[in-house]
Amino acid sequence: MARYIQKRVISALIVTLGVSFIVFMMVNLLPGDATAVMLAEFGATAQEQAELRRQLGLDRPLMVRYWEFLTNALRGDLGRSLFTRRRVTAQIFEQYPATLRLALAGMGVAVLFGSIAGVTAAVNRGKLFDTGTMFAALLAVSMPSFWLGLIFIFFFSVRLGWFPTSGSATWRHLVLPAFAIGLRSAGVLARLVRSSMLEVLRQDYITTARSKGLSERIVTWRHALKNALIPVVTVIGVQFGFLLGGTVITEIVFARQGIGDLIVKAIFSHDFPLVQGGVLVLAVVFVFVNLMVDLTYGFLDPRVRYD
Amino acid sequence: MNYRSILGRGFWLLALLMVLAMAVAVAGCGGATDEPADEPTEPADDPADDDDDDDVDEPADDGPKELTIGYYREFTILDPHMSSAGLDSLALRAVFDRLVEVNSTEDGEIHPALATDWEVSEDGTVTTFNLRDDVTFHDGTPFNAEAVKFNFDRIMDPETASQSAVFGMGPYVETRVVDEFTVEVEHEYPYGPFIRTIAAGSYGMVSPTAVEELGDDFPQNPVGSGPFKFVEWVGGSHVTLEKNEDYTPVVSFNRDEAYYDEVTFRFIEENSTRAAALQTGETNAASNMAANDFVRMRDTGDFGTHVYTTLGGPPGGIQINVSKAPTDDVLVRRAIIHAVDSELVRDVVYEGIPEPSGGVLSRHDFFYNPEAGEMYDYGNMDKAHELMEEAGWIMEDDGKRYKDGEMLEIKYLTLPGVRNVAEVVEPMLTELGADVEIWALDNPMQQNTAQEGEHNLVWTQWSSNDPSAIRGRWHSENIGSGWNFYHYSNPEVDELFIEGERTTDVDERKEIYDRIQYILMDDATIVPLNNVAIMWAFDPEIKGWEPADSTGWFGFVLNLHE
Repeated sequence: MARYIQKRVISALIVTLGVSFIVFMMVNLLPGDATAVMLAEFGATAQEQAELRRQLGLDRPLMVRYWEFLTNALRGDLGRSLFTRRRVTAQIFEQYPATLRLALAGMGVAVLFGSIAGVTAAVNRGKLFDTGTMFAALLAVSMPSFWLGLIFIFFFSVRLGWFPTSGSATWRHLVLPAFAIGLRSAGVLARLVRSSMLEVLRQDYITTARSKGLSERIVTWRHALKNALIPVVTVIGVQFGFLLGGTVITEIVFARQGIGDLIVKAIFSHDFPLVQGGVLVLAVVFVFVNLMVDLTYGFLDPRVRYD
Repeated sequence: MNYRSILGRGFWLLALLMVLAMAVAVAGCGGATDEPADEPTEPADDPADDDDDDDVDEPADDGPKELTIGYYREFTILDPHMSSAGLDSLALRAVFDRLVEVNSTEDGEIHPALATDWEVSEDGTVTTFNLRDDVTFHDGTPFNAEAVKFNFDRIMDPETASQSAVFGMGPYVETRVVDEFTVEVEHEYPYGPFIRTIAAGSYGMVSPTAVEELGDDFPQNPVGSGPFKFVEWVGGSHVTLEKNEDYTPVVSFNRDEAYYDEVTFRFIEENSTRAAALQTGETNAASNMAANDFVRMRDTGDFGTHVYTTLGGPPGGIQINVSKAPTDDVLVRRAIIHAVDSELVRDVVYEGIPEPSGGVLSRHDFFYNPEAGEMYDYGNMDKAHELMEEAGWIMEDDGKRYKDGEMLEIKYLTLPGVRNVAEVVEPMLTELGADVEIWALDNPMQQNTAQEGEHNLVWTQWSSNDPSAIRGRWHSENIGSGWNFYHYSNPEVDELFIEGERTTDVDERKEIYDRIQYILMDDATIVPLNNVAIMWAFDPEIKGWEPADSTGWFGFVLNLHE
């Protein structure tokens, strides 16, 4: 296991390096640069724009800038944003807790509602409960999260006054956005858990378990669910990885702090240091979550080996 | 029951992780105090009956008076010398004072602020300012001639990488300290825009001591001498300012002291959410509303509203590329201007709220020339067709115009955010007989594309304190690498821009810019659409929204009161 983790960490480093290089090239090879955005409101003459470009160091060769970024990053210095002139690390760590809270709460909603609905639907296959649940799941999957978010704000904040419309300070600010992103994943999970359960319930060992006289509850929750969970864990891992990258739309609709909005804006304004630093951090998180998911398989299925 | 045995360690590990996750999520939230807890305290289900809510939100008479503004974007940087964004100016104006103020919306006059009076030398190169002797920065540093010198030198320093202020400094040579409260600013040659330009938010006077102490962190901890002190900036959430109890009032047409003890700008980008937060009482005001939200809120009758307009220009309009066929023909350009019914654009896109544009400059600008701004009959399709015929473009049976076998093709470049303007204009041009292609590109790429000059039309919207700023748009030096998206090159206009900058007499300058506006409209370089309308809604008891600042850009937080 230790060797496996070691191998994975090394490959993670390579992935991260590759991601940073690709992102750097992509952002820099797009036509135009940050000065076009900075000067877009009040403008300047061509000469003044060129001077600003020089002052910000944007006129230096690409490879020189990339090398500088890499060597500084190894020292833990991701530079300063071209626009806010703040340290990139400070900006990222200021935003990340909110993203983490939303991702965890959203995943909580998804797993809780998704697995209960999925298992119950599978057990009651073909009955009204099954049809109703699956219809609701389809609805949840099809609804765009920004629309759901706006409906929530209108209904639960403006009409009922139960939760604040926006912000990220307290748990009350977290409820609506968590449901806005979590319900969609819950829909995905419910459908997946249901079909996975149905498949497992058909297998011989379940029939064996039943014929041994075990209660239906034990058969369902102990024998069947555990085996049904493997594909579910994969999906949870992937979805969670995405959520940790920030949920741009939800962050904007609920005016939450968050890293997704931060990085997307940086991309649009060609704020290289912030894009680079942000993507680097996200790549590390994503790789880490995937590693965790892979390790979880071993607990769920003893047949999985790590060497 | 042995739970462990029922489901196995895998499930419980996962379950434990989830519970931990939820716990962290909830605990993390409780612990984070990165936002003022301004939640709705009561259901706001009936907007018509929200008096009760107001009572809850409002502080008692003897408590601190707080104002929360739902602001449409996060501030970019609160260092006046570095900032290039109008959206920062509301906070910059609250924290910093400037040497002078221009009340442009009324008389275009320049008023004293930190400078009590000023004088321009005979040859126009030296401006002498007499300064107030009773002002201190928030950190206790006295405001004096040394501070002014420090500020102007800082704007010019390449290290500052100023994105706006430096462009208004002109052929700056140096600032000389004459005595403790007198400075001379020298330019290489006479520079007319100087005194008017330095009234803009980006010329706020920063505390030299604070800059030296804080270094690179100054922009996140701004220290000025204005009516409000900076308290905190929580990224992605809000900026809080508090009343400066020791404020020395410097501008005659502003309040002497702030009414509110604390002002918070909460950043809420989504238009509908910003409106909803005002409805629930989480905020007291909503800035830059979408036209539909604005009309809805206004029509409830429960909120006060105010519309700001900007100065300078060009305001909202469509720039015409004069060097690419078919718009290289002035008759075609004039036909396009006539064909575009700008009133319909204002109605459809902006609910009819903005005023018509003045073409090259805002109608509210002191330098606006009505003769230029009202030269065309917008939405006169007959006139437009007539001009096209005159230009030799003949309408064929397919509804398109042709000349020498070539179809009339118009390429319209737009930013994605204002694609709706292009979509309203498109059928008007189609009716004229053009085949219209719309491209939507975001900003850095838009500039690049427009510089290459493959477009015929491109949407535009600018503002400025002084008309000299439009040099960046129409002077031939800015073709191919600046913002002359018109690809317009006219030696007479180039000459006039230089003359306008080197003249210090305001009446002479007015004549020069009148002439520039006339030529640019006569050459049909721009389709005027709308003056920029910045729409605010707020709790009805808040007063003082009338513009009293130099740009007409937003209200001035100092003047808000109940």
